[in-house]
Amino acid sequence: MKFRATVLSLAIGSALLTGCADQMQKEPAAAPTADAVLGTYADIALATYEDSLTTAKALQASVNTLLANPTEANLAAAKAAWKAARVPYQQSEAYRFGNAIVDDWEGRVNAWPLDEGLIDYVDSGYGSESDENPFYTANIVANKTVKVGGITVDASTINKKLLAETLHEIDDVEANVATGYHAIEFLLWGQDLNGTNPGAGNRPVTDFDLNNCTGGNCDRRRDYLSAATDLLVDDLEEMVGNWAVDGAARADLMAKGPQGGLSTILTGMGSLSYGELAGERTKLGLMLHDPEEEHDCFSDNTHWSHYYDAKGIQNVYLGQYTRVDGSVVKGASLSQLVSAAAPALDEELRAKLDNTEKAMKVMADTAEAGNPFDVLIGANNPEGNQIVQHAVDALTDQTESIEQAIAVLNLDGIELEGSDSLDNPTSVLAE
Amino acid sequence: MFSRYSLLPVLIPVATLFLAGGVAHASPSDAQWQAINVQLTRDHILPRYQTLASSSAELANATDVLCQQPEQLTAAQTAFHKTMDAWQGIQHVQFGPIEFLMRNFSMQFWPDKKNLTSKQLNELLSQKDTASLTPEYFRGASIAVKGLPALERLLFSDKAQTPYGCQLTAAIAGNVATMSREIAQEWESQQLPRIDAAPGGEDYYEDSTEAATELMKALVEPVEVVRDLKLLRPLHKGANKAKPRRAESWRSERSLRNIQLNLAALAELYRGNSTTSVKALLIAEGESELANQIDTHFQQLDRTLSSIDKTLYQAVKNPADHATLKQVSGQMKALHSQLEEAMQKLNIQLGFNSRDGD
Repeated sequence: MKFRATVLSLAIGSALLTGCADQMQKEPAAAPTADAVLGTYADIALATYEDSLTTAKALQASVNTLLANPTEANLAAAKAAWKAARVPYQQSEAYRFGNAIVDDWEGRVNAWPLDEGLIDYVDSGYGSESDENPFYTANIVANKTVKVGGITVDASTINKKLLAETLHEIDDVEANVATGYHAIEFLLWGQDLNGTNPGAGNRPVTDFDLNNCTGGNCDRRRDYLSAATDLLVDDLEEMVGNWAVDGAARADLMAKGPQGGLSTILTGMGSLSYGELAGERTKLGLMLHDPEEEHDCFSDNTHWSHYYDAKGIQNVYLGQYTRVDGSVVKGASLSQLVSAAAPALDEELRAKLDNTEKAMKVMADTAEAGNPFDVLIGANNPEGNQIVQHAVDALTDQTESIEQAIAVLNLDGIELEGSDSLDNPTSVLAE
Repeated sequence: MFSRYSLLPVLIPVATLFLAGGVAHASPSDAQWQAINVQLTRDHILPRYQTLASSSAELANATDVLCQQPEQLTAAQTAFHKTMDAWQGIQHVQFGPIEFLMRNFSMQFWPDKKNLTSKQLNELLSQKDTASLTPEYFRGASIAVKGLPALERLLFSDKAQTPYGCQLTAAIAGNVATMSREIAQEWESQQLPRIDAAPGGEDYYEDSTEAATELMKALVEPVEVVRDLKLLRPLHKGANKAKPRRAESWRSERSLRNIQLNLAALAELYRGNSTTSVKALLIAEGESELANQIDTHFQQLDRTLSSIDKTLYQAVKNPADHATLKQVSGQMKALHSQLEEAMQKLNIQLGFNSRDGD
């Protein structure tokens, strides 16, 4: 679902004034060309997706090891590989909004939230039916044939084709997420049944054990995990290709011209900051206090997913990305471009991005200390709610400066993802 | 309203900043808008919130009675219908005290794409915790369990007739009554004075036009929201693919009634009274044709909706009714465009006014 808020043109007047004042006070830095900035942006995209692919292949290898030998240690290794794979992928999310090729593809790899009852067994607390989704409890792992409404699904063989072409978003319901990181996450961890108390999902490794099967249909669950992981690797390979030197996404970006290309960068930054990350993935959790209102709800890894989302926004602004091997991709940046037009605004935006990183770090540290995101958003946890609210506030704050950057660079008419949970002047904490 | 689906998409068209320059007629004066603001606040908004407050108080009583006399379910359901009638009649107003403390979401968290109302209600029902029955609990509770959709699920099932289920029903009804009473009071004590003081420009509103803009948003935006959420989502891609459970209030079989009440409220907002109205203002601007077209659309929509003799749940699956409802959708789209045009003629910039329809 797309929600849009435009960048407020109201900001234009004051931002321009600021810009003029700055120029009178300071010698503006030499600006890089827009083409150079776009080049860096595309190079960082390529590196980030390459790293996503490398780590997904490592995940695939550890899943294969797990299936060959379903031990606790191998399950733990697969979970660790999944978490490691999230680090570069989340940083790529700054590319999602604004680049049509990425946005059209994203649903295959990172769709959320999901009705996990489509895939496998669920706890009774999940409920048996949904007004929105007839496939709410279809349980493909357990059922070789599923008949719902007018649709009959032959799921006798679980493979990539079944997941990608039949099950994913079946019956036009977005919550039918059959593929991607979160489907894999559910298979590795299982449901988190700890409510808003500490603890992640705790699927027994014997759910994958053919000789000592728990949860039923271990053969089919293994097929599902294997197919979903292979599919993730395929999808990421496709996106790496799109950002290669002759790739389609890079070509699209360059074809937009300097103004259009810079708009794309800022659209991605602003939309992820505001509507998506601050709103949909965070503020809504504070309003619903629901343990599944967290992005990585099975693994309780949400704090790192949010942290690296924010990091990705910073990367594209600063034109700098630290790869998983520690090397750095770096080049002409949007920051330099904004600095040349309005140095104070650039400083302000960089400071706000730092501030968001700090707020995200506090949330991550609190989570690692035993209070993950679903605990922090719980009802009757004002301290936890406050920590999460700080992250929302920091993201909202940086969005305002992103809007000003759009105005300063004269890039009108950009639409950012909006969020009613944010646009309404309400305070969860006042509740 | 509303949830994830309607975490509304807001678009401030940069273009509208420039459109104003091309309007030939003199804009309505601030004094003209002030007259409309005062009329609509006193004759439209306040009475409707008062009706919501009184009907929800009756509903709270009826659910208390139900817990003593389980055979009184029908009476409690009737009281629910009255409260829902009142809410549907004022749902279009999304500014003022309804925004405070997330009351808009708390009154009605819908559509509920993640099935959270069901999930969270089931959890409460299985825990049977008496601490979850207090006003304190409801102040901090999830928006999914403290409003009208949660009440509907309880009252239009056997759940409200179990001892704990009934207590929970009464507690939620109490919460709805409290919110409704507070909203009505705050409109009287806070929002009305702000609107009265708008001409001075020294209080909440910069001028009467700014206050009028909020009222005009309440007139224009809901036409599109109601069409998208209440009509097009259940209609989906054809009678054989319809999704009846996406209809609002399908459990209490009042989905179509809701839409009719929404449109009737908007028509009243548009027509004002015999001397003061948006319609009259349009005519004074030389836009009689547009003014009358809008009026006619409201009448047509009411007639067409009244002609459907099934519930929306049934109608979306019936090819003939499905086609009729598609016509209704088309009429609503046309009405929305005309209202947007009217706002341009009246030099009102709606700001947060546009939704992406996907």
